[in-house]
Order: sequence, then structure tokens, then C-alpha cells
Amino acid sequence: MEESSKYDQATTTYLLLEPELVKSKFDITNAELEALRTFKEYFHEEVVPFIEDFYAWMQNLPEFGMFFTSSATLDHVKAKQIKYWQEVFSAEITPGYLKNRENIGLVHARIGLPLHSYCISMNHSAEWWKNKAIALLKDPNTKNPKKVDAAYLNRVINKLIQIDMTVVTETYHKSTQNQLIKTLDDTKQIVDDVTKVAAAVVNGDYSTRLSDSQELSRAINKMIEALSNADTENKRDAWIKNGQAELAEKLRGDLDVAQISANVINFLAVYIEAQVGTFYLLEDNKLHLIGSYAYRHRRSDTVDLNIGEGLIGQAVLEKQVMIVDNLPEDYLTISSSLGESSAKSIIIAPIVFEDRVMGVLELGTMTEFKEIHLKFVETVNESIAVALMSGNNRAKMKELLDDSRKKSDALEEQQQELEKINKNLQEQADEIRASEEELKAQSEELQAINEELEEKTQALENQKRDIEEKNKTLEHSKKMVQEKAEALQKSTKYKSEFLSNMSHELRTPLNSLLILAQSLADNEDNSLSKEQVEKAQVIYSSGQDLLNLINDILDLSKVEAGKLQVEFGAISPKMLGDTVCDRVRPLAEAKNLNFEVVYADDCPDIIVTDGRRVEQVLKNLLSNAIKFTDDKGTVSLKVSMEQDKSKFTTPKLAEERVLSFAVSDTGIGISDADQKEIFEAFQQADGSTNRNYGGTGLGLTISRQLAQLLSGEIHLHSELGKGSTFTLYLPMSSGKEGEATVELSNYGATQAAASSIPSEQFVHEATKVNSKESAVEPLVLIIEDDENFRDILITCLNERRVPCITAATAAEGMQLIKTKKPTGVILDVGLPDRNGLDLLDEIRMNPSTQNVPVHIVTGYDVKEKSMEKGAVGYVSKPVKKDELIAMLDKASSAISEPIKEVLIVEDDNHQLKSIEKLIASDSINVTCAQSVAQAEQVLHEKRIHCMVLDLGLPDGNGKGLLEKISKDKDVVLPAIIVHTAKSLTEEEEKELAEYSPTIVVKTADAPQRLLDEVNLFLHKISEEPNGTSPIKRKTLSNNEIEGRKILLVDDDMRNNIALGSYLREHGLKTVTADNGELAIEYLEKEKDIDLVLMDIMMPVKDGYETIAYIRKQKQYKDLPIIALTAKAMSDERQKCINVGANDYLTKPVDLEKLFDVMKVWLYK
Amino acid sequence: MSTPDHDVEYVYYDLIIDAIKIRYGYDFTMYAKSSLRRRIRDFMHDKNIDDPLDVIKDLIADEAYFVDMLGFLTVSVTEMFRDPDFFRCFRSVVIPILKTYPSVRIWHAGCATGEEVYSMAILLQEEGVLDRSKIYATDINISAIDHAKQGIYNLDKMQVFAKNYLKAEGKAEFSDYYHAKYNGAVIDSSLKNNITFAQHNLVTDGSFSDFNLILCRNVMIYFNKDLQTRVLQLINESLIHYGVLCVGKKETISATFLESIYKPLDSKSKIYQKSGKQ
Repeated sequence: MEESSKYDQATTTYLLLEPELVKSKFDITNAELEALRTFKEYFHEEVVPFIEDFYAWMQNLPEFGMFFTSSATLDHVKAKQIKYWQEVFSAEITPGYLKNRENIGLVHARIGLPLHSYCISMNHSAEWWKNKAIALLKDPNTKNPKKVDAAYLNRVINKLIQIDMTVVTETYHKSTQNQLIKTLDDTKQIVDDVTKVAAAVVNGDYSTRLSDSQELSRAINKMIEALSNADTENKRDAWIKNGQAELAEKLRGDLDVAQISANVINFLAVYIEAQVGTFYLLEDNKLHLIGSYAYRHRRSDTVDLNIGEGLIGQAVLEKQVMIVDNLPEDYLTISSSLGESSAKSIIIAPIVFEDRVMGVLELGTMTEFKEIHLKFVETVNESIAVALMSGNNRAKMKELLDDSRKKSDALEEQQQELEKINKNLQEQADEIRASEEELKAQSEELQAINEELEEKTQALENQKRDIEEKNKTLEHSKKMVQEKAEALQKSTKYKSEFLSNMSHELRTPLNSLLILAQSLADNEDNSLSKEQVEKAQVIYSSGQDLLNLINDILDLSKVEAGKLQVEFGAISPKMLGDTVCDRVRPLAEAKNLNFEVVYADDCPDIIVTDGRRVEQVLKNLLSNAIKFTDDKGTVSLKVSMEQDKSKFTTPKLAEERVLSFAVSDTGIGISDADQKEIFEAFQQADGSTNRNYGGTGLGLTISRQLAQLLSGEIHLHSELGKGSTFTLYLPMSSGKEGEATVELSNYGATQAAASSIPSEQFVHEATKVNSKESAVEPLVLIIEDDENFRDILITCLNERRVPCITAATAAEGMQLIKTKKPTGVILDVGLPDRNGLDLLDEIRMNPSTQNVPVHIVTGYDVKEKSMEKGAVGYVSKPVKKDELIAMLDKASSAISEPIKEVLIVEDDNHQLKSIEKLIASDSINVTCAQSVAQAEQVLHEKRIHCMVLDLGLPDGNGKGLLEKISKDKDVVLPAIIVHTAKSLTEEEEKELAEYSPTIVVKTADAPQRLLDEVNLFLHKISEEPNGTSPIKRKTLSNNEIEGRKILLVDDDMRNNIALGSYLREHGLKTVTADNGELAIEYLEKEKDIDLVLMDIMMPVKDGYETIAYIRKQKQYKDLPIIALTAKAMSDERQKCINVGANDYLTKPVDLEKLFDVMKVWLYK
Repeated sequence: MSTPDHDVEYVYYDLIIDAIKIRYGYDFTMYAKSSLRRRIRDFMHDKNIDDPLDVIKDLIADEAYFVDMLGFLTVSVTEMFRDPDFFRCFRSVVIPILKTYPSVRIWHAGCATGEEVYSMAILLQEEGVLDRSKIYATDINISAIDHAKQGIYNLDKMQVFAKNYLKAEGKAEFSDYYHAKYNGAVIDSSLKNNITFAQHNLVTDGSFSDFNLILCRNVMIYFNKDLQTRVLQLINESLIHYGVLCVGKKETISATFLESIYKPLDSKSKIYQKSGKQ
């Protein structure tokens, strides 16, 4: 109150406290006041009811409740008001009166009564008093001295009220103003204080406080406190949130449970300032230590805990975080390298996720865990739990993923399998489809074939019928033939029986005759005249002749009956010759003939044959020779070895060495025409022939047969007028010594019968009758009108023992060709009746004669023409002897193999040799040329039949050669086969085709084709063997290595024996040795070893050494050695070759292969 | 009209054959009768004809009808590289022989729609021999020849052909030799260059050249024996020395006059070489 009055005083206006001023201001006179005073008592009486009405009215005002809360206050205020209004109606405006009014104003200001409420109430009061005044004045009882009216009274009252109101209002305002100022100052102060405090708070200083005098300060203090609290709270939250964030960071990523646990425990320990910690994971209802921080296992075997075991276990059950403080000293030690201390408290926090415990954390500290640590742990619980969960899930997912991957892999595999199967099925389906199509096609074809077959079957049946008929006929014929043969045999038998009977019959009288004739000729008692003795001698000799004849006939028949006995023995040809000669010498002497016997140097000591028969033959030949040689002629016997074996047809003569007994005479000779005839069997003999040549004409036939029996031959060379030579050829060994009977069933009657009917031969459409052409004896026909030359030719041919016939005209020649079928013809061109070349044409045209090789000998220059016409040889007169001989040789050689000349023109040596090897054969003579020049030379030197021509030559082009020689008159163009590696253009081909239609490109199969083409050219007419097999190595026919000597070296004698016998079976000779030393010894001893089969594995001196040793010797440099080894390694082969073997074979030895290999190395 | 009985039917068929010969000059009288009859029957069945007499009338009147019929009478089922063993064998046995000639002339007698010709062309190309070869492919049926000349085959058949090709030891991809167009496979033109297609009647026509190789496969089974002989003579005339003859799997030259002249290079695949005397 004091404070406010202080302020009041400072601001109160003079007006309000000065009564006179007030009166004048409000225009209130003392008279008025006087007037009002008259009514004082009355109004004082009304004050209390006024108050009561007033408060009753005021209760309706909203402000009422604000100010009058307690009745005490109300009473107090009422009393005051009573006093106030009494004062008013006392109507004395004194300073005290005004002062009271001032106080009211102040009070109102202080209590904060709104002015307008005061004004309203004053207005209301004024109204009430007005009414009262009116009422008062109306009341007659009222003493109204001054006699005032109501209006006048109310005016006075109103003025007083106005004064009150004004004073109060003014005071109110002033007071309010003062208060405001004060408040403003306070506020300013507070604001300053607040500003200071705010600044502090902004800086985070929540400690400052305002003086709490003011509400505001208090409020602000509270606020600061609140802020402070909030700040602390925030800091805490921030720490927790930060911690969470950091932890979340650490738990980010694809971590597994272990990593998570480690991260968690490590982080937490640090964050909440724990110095030690463990993290247990709940797995399968067991707690398993999964992470730790600065933890040393005190007891290593209690790593796994059960639920409920220990605090940790308990935490699982309770699912609540626990703090255990005040740990005993020895409970837990936290240590570092420098020191240690015991832990004070531990937190045990189960990690729970959706009410499921995942694990338990335990952290320990040396200090204490604060609330916030606990809160933090609780807060991050979920994150950890979630992280663990995630970790678990991830792990699970990984498992599942792996699992599913595996499964998907498996599925893929299966799918692939299925695809494969599907594909297979599809393929199969396709195949089936294709097969179906194929089947369709095939069934069509089959149908067609069926039809064909039906037709064929029908045809076959017809054929069969025909064949059956023919067979029947054949059977019949066969039967006939057989009957005839039997008949013949019978007749022969009869004949021989007859003859033998007859011989006996004949011999008997002959015997007498001879004896008697002999004795007469002896003329012992000289009873006969010379003439008579002579006659007796004639009788004797005739008889003798007759006897001989009979003997001969018998022999002949025996031979023909196949019953002749031949006995082989070792005979001395000399002795034989002498014996025979002695016998016939007298005959020769009787005719005054020169008789010579010559034994050549090479005549052997021994010959294995039947001496008796040889004698017989020789005697026969000699007798004939003597008989047909005239006075002063010469008959000679020459015994020698025969070298030229080409003329023989008997196998034995070809194989063995041949001894010849040549009986020559200078007699009348035998014409060509008759030569053949005289050897015919007597059945077919022309009787006149016999008679011409005398009684012993039979002898020749017999001699021939005998010669055949002895595996020999008799050849005749004779010329009319000049003489004859009959030569008996015998093999050195006709048969085995001591061999008695040779039943030769081929001979005799059956021979004749058999030759004309092919046995068991049914006519078959498809089969060929393979009739082997029987070996033809060479026979040369000379068609030459010049006698002298003809003679020369004949002589030459005779020297060669080649039978020849002659013709002097073309016609005769042609005739002879047709009838005699010579194997070669020597044809002169200048013939009297026709040009030889014309004849040549005719010969060529005629199918039956076209095969005969014809050699032209002529003085005309017609070589080209001749060759064109197909002559195989050409010689121009005058003929040089060697030319002649060459031609005759050619002409007389067997037709089946005329030698063909082949020229190979190839510059590559290797190829040249291989082609040569390929083509060369018995019937082909190969010449090689390696350049154009060489080729030309060869072509000029001799007639080439076929030329294999390479195009690329060192001194020119093959085609150039062709052009050259085609223009060259001296060269007859041979058949040409071009053999080139060059790939030819069409142009080149065409150009070459002018000369040769045959071009062989050098490829792997070229050799076969080359051979084929060469053969084709050379054997245009002769038959080709079926199924020519490719010739890989030039091999020999067995015949050619027969007789060779092989040295077998093997330490196992059984091998030697087995191999040896196999080789011997094939005609080879063998020598065996069972070691190397022996082998070398034998090599030296047996000088004619042709090949060695050497086993490698041998003791003492093994195969290698032996081979090496052998090779060291010069003489065995070229000896073929084939190594036989059990080793199959490839370097073994090389080893053998290196040491000197020519070839090698592995054991066990393939015998066929062995033979092949041997044949190669034995080829010379 | 109901189907006439057997013998009467056969007379009609003979009449048809005669009609063809008289009207168009094609001589089928020497073809194997039963297969010919069967084909006529197939033709009639396909065209829903009951009466053979109708056939005669129509074919005489309408050449196109005859050409259609000709297809039934002459062309048979075929594929490319049909009977792959034959081609395989051909590669190893015949190709080396062909390689020894600087130029090779080949005749496919009775090539039908050309599958065999192109197969052979492919094989020759792979073996490096096509360039030096001149191939002549002939058939009696002109529309077959035209078809062959075009060298277009059904695309869906290519799969089967490809299988055959593989079995025949083809050296590349079968698809290299054709390109697909719409629904057809067109044979690569490089294969067609050396091939000349022409019409040729084995019954009436003669030899027109010399060849190193003649293929006459699954043609002669439809001929009677006389015609077969004739054809073989024709082939023999047309083949050089050491030339090669190939016939179909079900055919043979045994029991013919060729047997002595030809030696088998592979009897299973019926490949022969002329190596004997004429």
C-alpha cells in the first residue's frame, strides 16, 4: 500500500483533491449541497436497502464472482460501501471526502476492477437513487424545507455521483498507469533477467535462476528447469539413439550370427563402458558362448549352459534385464596388462525377440552401470534380437538357398536328362519316320523284286527242265561213251592177249626159223655155196627183223595198255651209249657209214632212269638213222647236257637238268609235212608211211611213248635231203631209284576216250567252262619265196630246235596258218602272188588267225605301215645276223607270253623304281628314262609298246616329247599313259588326248590304275584273270623260291623243327642251328645259304650280336636276314634293323606272313 | 461298273500301256508287269477311278492327265543320301579311283527328282572332286527332271535327309548346302553348276557319251529281264575301262552278262568296276 501511495502521490492531480475546484468543475453549489443535506436522514435510511439491492443486482454481473469470493470480504466491502454512500448523502465535499474517493479509485485499480463495471454500477446506483428521490419527494411526509423538486434533487445527486465517478476514474487511471509503469519497469527488469538467463540456457547453462519474486521469474525458472531437464533427457536419448545407430551400423550387412554377436558385444562393452562381456546364444535349448569381450575363460568346459543355469540361464527364463551390483571381490576380475581389478557390477541382458529368447548378454564393469546404460541395453535389445534373428534367418536362408540351388541344379540336370531323352525320343521318332519311309520305298522295291523273282523263278524252272533234258542226253552219251570205252578196253585187252598169244605163236616158228637160218649161215660143214650162205643170212636177218617187229608190236601194245614196266636205276650214260653203239655199229659199217659217238664234257656220270628202255630208244633211233642214211653218210650219237629248256613241255624237263642223246644222220631227211605224222600212234598211222620208212617205223612211236614214260621227250629236226637229228631228252632223275612199276593210267586207251568228253559237265548258263589252254609247242611259219633266205631261216630255227614250216606263197602261207596254227609267222612282203602286207591285213581281219604274231622281214621300206597293220616285229633286208636272231627268238617264243616293251619316263628316281617294280613281270620288259632326251633315245633304239609318261621332266615337258615323237618317222608311237601329279586344265587335257586318252593322276590309288591301264594296253586280247588283287609287294610264285636254302637259328630246337618242316613242305631246304656260334659256323660251311631266320633271344651269343657279326663279313653283306623276336615294342624293330637285319617278325610267327616276307627278300 | 475280274483287268492294263505307247511314244511294255499294274491301280485309286477304260479315254484325250499318270508310273520314293551305307562306301572305295582321273564324267541314269544327284554332288564337293566332274542326270519323266533342276524340296524332309547325311559320314553341316525359303529348302546353286539335267529314256534311247561313273540305282528293278539286259548293255557301252557302276541295294549284276566283265569293288553296296574283256 505504501508503495502504491508513493506512486499515487506523484501523479495525483490537484483537481481531485481541491474541493473548490471540484465544485466549480462540476458546477455544484453550496446551495445544492445544502438542499441535499436536508434530506440526509432520509437517504441515510435508504442506504442499507440500497446496498442490498445493489448486491442483488450485482450478482448478475459476471464480474461479481471474480471479486467477491468470500463472504468476509463481502461484508467488509458492504460496510465500506455503506459508509461511502452515507458520506455521499452527507453532501460535504471536503478534502477528506475526496481522499476517500481517491482511495476507492486506488483500490479499484489495485484489485483490477474494470472501470466499465464501476461505471455500470454507478449508473445503476444513480438510477436507483433517482427513483428513490422521486419517491421521496412524492411522499408527503417528507420534509422539504427548501422545497426542491425531484429533478433538482436528482441533479444534485448526479453531480455528486459524477464527482465520485470522475475522481475514482481519474484515480483509477492514474493508479493503473502507475501500476503499468511499475509493471513495465518490473517487466523490463524481468526481461533483462530473462534475457540473461535465456542466453545462459541457449549456451546450455541450465543452472541460472531468476529471483523468484515475480510470477514470471518463477515461471521462467520453472521453464529453465524444465528445459534443463529436457536437455538432460535429450542428451540421454541422444546417447541412446546414437548408440543404437552405431550399433545398427555395426549390424548392417550380410553378417552371420557369430559376426553379429562379436560386433554386438564389442560395441556394447565399449559404449556402456563395460570392461568385460560375454554373449551367449540360445541354440537347441542350450546357451552357447558365441562372443566375448576381454574375456578369459576361467573354466573352459562350461562354455555351454542350460536354461536356468546360473544367472545367464535365469535371464533366459525371466526375459528381463538384470543388474547385479556390489559384486564380491572375487566374482569377476577385469584385468589388463598393467593391472587388474574386480568388477563391481554386471548387466545380464537376455536378447528377446517377440517373446523368444535368442541369447544373453553379460557385461561387467569396474565402476557402476547407470540407469542409462541399462536403458540403452534395453533399447538395443530389440535391434540385437532382430539382427540375430536376421542373422539366423540369413543363415537359414543361405542353407535353404544352397539347398534350393542344389535342388535346382538337380532339377536342371534332370531337365537336361529329360531334354536329352526327349531329343533321343524325337530322333528315334524321326528315325522311325525315316525308317517308315524307307520301309515304304523298300516294300515297293521288294514288290518289284518279288515280281522279278517270280519271273526269274519261272525262267529258272524252264531252264531246269532244259538242263534236265540235256543232262539226260549227256547221261545217255556218257553211258554210250563208257560202253564204248569198255568195249575199247576190252578190245585192247583182247588185242594184247591176242598179241601175246600171237607172239608166242609167231615166235615159235620164228625161233626155228632163226636157229635154222643161223646154222645155215654158219655153214659149219661148208656144204653150202657162197650164194646159199648169203641167202641164209638174208633169211636170218629177215627173221631177226621179223622178230624185232613182233617184239616192238608187243611192246607198243603193252605201252598202250599201260602195262609197261619201267625200272629206274642209276645208269652211266657212257656205258649205255657204248652198249647201244656196239650193237648198231656193225649195221653202220655194213652200209659203209661213218659212225661217231661223242660224249660232251658236261656229260654226267650218273643218270637215274630205266636203262633198258633208253637203250631201246637209242637203238631204235640209231637203227633208223643208219637205215635212212646212204652210202658214205654219217651217223652220230652225241651225249650232252641240254641248256635250252624252253622247248620242253614236260614239267620234269623244265625243272631238272636235262641230258640229251642226239642221234644225227646225213640221210634223206623228213619233210615238214611228215614230221608230225611219223610220231603218231600206229592206230592212226598211214600204212604207206610205215612202208616208206621200213619195218621199224613203229619204233618211233614206241620210242616216243617210252621217252614219255621216262619223263623225257624226243625232238626231231630234219630237212629233206640234208639229214635228221632225233634227240632224246631225259631228266637227270626220271624217278626214284628202285621204283619198280609205274602204272600210268593216263596212258593207253582211256586217254583217247577221255579227251573228247568233258565229264560231269552240265550245261549251266552262267558258268564258264574254264578250259586251260594246253601248252602249245612253238611252231614258226616262214612265208618267204626266196629259197636261200628261207633256208637260212630254217637253219637258224633248227639251231634253236624250233620246229618250222615254210610256204613260198601268200596263199600257201594263209592255208598253213589256218591249218597248222603256227605260234609265230615270219612274213616276207615281196611275195609272188600277193603283197605280204595285204596278207597281214587278211590275217588280222580273220578272227581265227588274228592272234598270230607276225614278223615282217622285207627289203621294202614299209615299217610304219607294217606296224600300223599290227606286225609285232619288223626287220629290213639285208638282215643283220643279230637282228635276225632277235626276231626269230621273238617269233619262236611261246605265244602265251610275248614280251612287251614298256618305257617309263619319270624323273623322280624313287617313283621310277616303284613303277618299274610294279609293272615288271615275266612278260613285260621295263626300260627307264629320266629325261626327254633319254626317252627319245630309247624310243629310237627299240620298239616300245607302251609308255608311261610323266609330264614334268628336267629337260622339257612330257607333252613336248609326245609332239616330237609323233612327228618322228623312225619312232613308232607306243600306247601312251600319262602319269602326272599336275592338275590339268580342260585345255591341257584335250591337247594330251590327241596322243593319249589315258591320263592317270598321281594319287594313292594311282599305281593300281596304272598297272590296270598298262595291262589293258598290252593284253588287249588275252583274258584277264578275275578279281585282280592289288599287288602290294612284288611277290613270287612259290615255284621260284623252291629249292632255296634257309638257315634257321633258334635256341629252342622245337621251333627250328616246326618251322623247318613247314619250310620244307614248301620245297625249301633248311639248315638249323641252335645258337649263334653254330649259325656262323654253318654259314661258312654251307656256302649256299640264301636267307637266315634269326631268333633274337639266345644265350651266349644273342641274335643281335650274331647278326652284327654276320654283317661284318663282306661276303654276307647282302645276305638276307630276318629277325624273329618275341618283343613287340617299336624300338625293337629299329634295333634289329640297326644291327643289320633286313626285316623282322614278331613271335609267334604268322607262317603266311613269314612266307611273304621271305619271298620278298629272296627275290632276285 | 464293278471291278472286272483279274484276267480282264490285266487286259485293260495292257491296253493302257499300249495306249500310252501309241499316243505318247513311251514304251512301258518292257517294265515289270506286276509293279506297273500296281502303279496303275494306285493312280486309279488316287483319282478315284473305278473303270480302267476311263483311264484310257482320258489319257488319250488329255496330255496333262497322262503327265500326271506318268508320275505314278515312273517316280518312286526317294530321299537324299538314301541308304547312307552306300555313300559311305562310295567315299572310301570309289573316290580314290576318281581322283586318279584329271576329269570325271558321271551319269545318273534315272535320277527322278534329283535327290540322289544332289547327294552325290555334295559328297563329291566334300571330297574335292566336284570341280573336275561333269554330271549328267537323266530321267524318262520330264516333270521329275524339272523338279530336280529346281532343286527345291520340302523343308520338313530336310531333317530326315540331314540324318542320312550324317550317317553317310558327311564332313560338314547338312544345312550348309541349302537355304530355307518359305516352306521349301533350296539346294545351293554351287552344287548345281556341274550338273546337266536332261530327259532320256532308257528303253528307247542310246548311249550318249563315255563315263567314268554311272549310277543306275533302283531303276532296273522295275524293268523286265529283257529291258534290264538292254539297259545294262547301254550302260556297258557308256562306261570306260575300269569305270565304276553303281546299282541299287536290291539289285545285282550277277546272272547277267556283266558278271564276267565287272568285278565288285564292294558287293554289299553294289559297286562294280569294269575290268574284264568286252
